[in-house]
Amino acid sequence: MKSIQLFVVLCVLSSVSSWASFCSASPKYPSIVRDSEMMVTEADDACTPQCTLCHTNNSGGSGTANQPFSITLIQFGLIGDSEESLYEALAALNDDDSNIDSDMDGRSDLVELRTPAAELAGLEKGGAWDPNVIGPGAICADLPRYGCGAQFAVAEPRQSLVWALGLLIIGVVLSRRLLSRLKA
Amino acid sequence: MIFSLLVALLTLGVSRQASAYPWMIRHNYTACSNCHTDPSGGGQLTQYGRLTGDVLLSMKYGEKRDEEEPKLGMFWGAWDLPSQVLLNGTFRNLAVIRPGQTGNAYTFIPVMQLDVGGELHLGDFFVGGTIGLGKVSEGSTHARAAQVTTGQQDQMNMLSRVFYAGAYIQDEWLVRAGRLNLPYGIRIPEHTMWVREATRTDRESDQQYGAALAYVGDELRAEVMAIAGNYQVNPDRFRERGYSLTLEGIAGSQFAAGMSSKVTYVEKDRLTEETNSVRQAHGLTARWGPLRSLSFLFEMDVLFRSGADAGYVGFLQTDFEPVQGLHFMATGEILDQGLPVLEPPAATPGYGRPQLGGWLSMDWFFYRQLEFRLDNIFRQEDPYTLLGQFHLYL
Repeated sequence: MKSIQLFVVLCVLSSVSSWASFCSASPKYPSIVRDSEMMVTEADDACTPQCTLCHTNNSGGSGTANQPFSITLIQFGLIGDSEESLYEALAALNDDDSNIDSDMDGRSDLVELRTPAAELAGLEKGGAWDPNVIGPGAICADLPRYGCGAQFAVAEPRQSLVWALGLLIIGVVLSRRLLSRLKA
Repeated sequence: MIFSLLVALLTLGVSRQASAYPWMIRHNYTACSNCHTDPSGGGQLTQYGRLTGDVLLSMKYGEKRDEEEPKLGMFWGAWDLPSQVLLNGTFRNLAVIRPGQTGNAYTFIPVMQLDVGGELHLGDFFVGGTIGLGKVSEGSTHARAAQVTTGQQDQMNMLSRVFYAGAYIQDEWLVRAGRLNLPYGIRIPEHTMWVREATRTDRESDQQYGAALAYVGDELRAEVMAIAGNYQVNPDRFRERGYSLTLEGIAGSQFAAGMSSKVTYVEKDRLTEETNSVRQAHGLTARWGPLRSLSFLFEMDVLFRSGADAGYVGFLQTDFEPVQGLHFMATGEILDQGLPVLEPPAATPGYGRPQLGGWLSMDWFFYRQLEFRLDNIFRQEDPYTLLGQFHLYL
């Protein structure tokens, strides 16, 4: 039995030690688009687009890459879960001189992706213009942030404390009433 | 008034429900709370749960193993904890193979899950929780919502999936507050199964902050949770609020059926980017263990969300265990999340049309607290996927 325990410990340790070479099963498309030469790269505006640049939701998945910009990239050879095809499609779009305008708002995709969205009023951070949105629309205007207290520069209202206190009070009141009823 | 409504909700239904291994119903384990401290199952094991795992879960090799005493201590019995303290640990890795796919045909994730946690009991009161590590790609929807640290790109982050304080009220009632698993549906370990993803009720990172009241009786198990939002997602407009509940009743010792309901509102949905969105899921569940070696799990949910047609999601799973510790499972799935009402795109499988999926799985509990699992996943419109994982739990 000790040999099995030792085997398990070694397996776990070797796995953890190889974490540096961690590969995620999740698509890396958003960061590839961010790093492509067609995107705005000024420090204040560089951002990683959400999956909704191509998909209808941020969970992604087959059958949801229906956004106009995605359809354009598919025409340039993009296929699912192939980083190579994304690089090639982006390069082909970048080299294309026909001013493709996925959302048909009069500004080509390349122009929109190279226009800093900070020009748009009222945005904390914008990245580039969104090639799926007619007129001005920022790729990174309204992103969720993850982790305790993670946020952009603007502080958010303290609704959390109100909710937490409210739930605590309800829980205590209900528990006391329930306990007293059960005891009775 | 609120109290009366809660009591009415809790007494409407029938008995107890699914654990992390809800097929344990075939061993007459209809309740989850025998083996888990979470009344709806999963996560922290009780001492009895550790013993049950030793006796019923893992493979036996010959007569000698039958004669061995089950061990309650941590690390295969090497460390006996005081009765007020429970500890747990989980490690999983994952290999993903998609042979028919161009690029990324093989991915190995050395550490898919690495969590440790525990519970401290002081009389009728207790506190507990888990911490862990996670590293996912930028843009991933997994793990992010459980982050404690604030890295937004592909660096390592500390996670906490659950933490809570609570109290037992008499023997059958339990109240908890904190970050909790949502009481909804059958609590299966397959977090990517469509029923768990579409209803947003998996144990991977779908937990929410809130308060929950649970009842575990002989013939009725129920839990209702007021959802205050996930405070590990910022800013506040991305937090879902509402309720989630589940009820399950038992007919005999090997059949349980129940219902679940969940309604949430969010100002801006972090996954769909829909604004002022109300999401609803309401469903029926059933578990049946007709033989010691055979069980069936079933769940069917209807889905509603603002500005979209109604949808549905469901699964039926059968689990055959010819030799203790070795499981063969077949699962069928169906999903249609519904199309937006305004300017709907063309219907595709899963969106406006039914999408079908199937899993053929082998799950081998080859030694105490050790599991090796293979899943062949066939989903309409998705490439064939083979998942392999090694799981150690303490």
